Amino acid sequence: MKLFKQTDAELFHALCDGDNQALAIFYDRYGEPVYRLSLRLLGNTQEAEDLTQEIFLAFWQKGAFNPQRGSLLTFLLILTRSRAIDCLRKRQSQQRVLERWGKNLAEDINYACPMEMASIKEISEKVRLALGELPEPQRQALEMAYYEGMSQSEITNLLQIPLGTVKTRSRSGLLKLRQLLKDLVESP
Amino acid sequence: MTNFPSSDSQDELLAGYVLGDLTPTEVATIYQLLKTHPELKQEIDALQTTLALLPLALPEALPPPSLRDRLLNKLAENSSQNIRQPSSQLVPSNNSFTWSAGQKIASTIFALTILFMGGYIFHLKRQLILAKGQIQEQQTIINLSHDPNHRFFTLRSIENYQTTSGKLILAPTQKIAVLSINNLASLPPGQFYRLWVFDQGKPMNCGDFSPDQAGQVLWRIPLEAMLMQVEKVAVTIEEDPNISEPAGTMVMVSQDRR
Repeated sequence: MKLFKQTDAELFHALCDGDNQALAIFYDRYGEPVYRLSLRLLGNTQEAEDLTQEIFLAFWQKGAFNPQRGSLLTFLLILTRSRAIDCLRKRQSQQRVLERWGKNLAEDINYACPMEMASIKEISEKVRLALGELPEPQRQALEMAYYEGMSQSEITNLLQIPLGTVKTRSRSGLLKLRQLLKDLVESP
Repeated sequence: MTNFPSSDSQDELLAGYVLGDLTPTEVATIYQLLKTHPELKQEIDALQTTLALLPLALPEALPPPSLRDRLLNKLAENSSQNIRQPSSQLVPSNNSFTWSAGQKIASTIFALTILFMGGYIFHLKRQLILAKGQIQEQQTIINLSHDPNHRFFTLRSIENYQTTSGKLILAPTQKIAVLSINNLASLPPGQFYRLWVFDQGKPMNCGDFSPDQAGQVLWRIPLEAMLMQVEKVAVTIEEDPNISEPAGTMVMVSQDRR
């Protein structure tokens, strides 16, 4: 299954033409993954809700997405991570990022199972399986860089391993993941 | 002469590029590689997509149903603000009620006071919006300038847009670009601003945007591989969304600082 969906492109044109209902449909499709990432990065439901709303409003206001250049899911997830990391940097002096590492967020989470999210569920399952195939050190290095916005040297300090090892682990992990997910990530 | 890396090293370089852990020398090697092997952009795109999909491995988490309602309410609010016209009907023009001269004077003073206060509050709100926008802009730019490989383009206005100023920052490590413009005029319906970047003289459409009520633009754009070799940036006013090259009035062009 390819990520790029023609229906998203059609919806995006409707949105550009002023049909606000298109945004509601986009939210139904991608609100959950955007919220999922926001919740993981920010660590509390209130901020995750605010960020999710902000992402979709920014998408509506700016119209920055180009459907000919990639999938909307990827676009929204990149935007969400970027904004969340900005938020984290602002509050870093009050709450160290490391305190959140490994924190169990399950108590605040509503688990999703609506019908319209079948494709997201399918993609999610593939990503989970692929990530599960990575050696633990590679997965750890990759997740620390992605979720915590940590530089390689910060990971080096935290894990007490050489910088070169951190780079090798995260790069090898990403390359292996890319191969495992090639049906999803390669252009049609 | 540049020594290009072997295939395995090349893959590692590309992965490091996407992860943002390359040294400036290694980034320069990537730029060289992309010039001679443009097909590698697809590989970078694939790696970036792979990284972007990582959070889908997290447990699914439904936002509360109220969030959808909040979003749609906010959307309706913003939509109505965009089309709202100022009211000019403070005093009915045709009223069967006969007012005395004193009442008329008092009501006129009252109406003028309301108008003045309304204008003053509007002015204060606008100042507040401008101040918030400037703080947000500065914070965003400071964050991006920490990117070791960032590039900074100053946008110079052209002809009738002398009070307009702007900048574009590309932060490859953070996978983001930010366009910031001040004093940009709103456009009539059917027209829009479009951002173009030029790679080896070839224009590339980066998307359309519009300023807010205060004439400001702060637009965050997920960075794609092709933006890495940007040599020039331009903003035009367009009417046809399907064009692939600038056709309308050029409003701003760049002067690359770095």
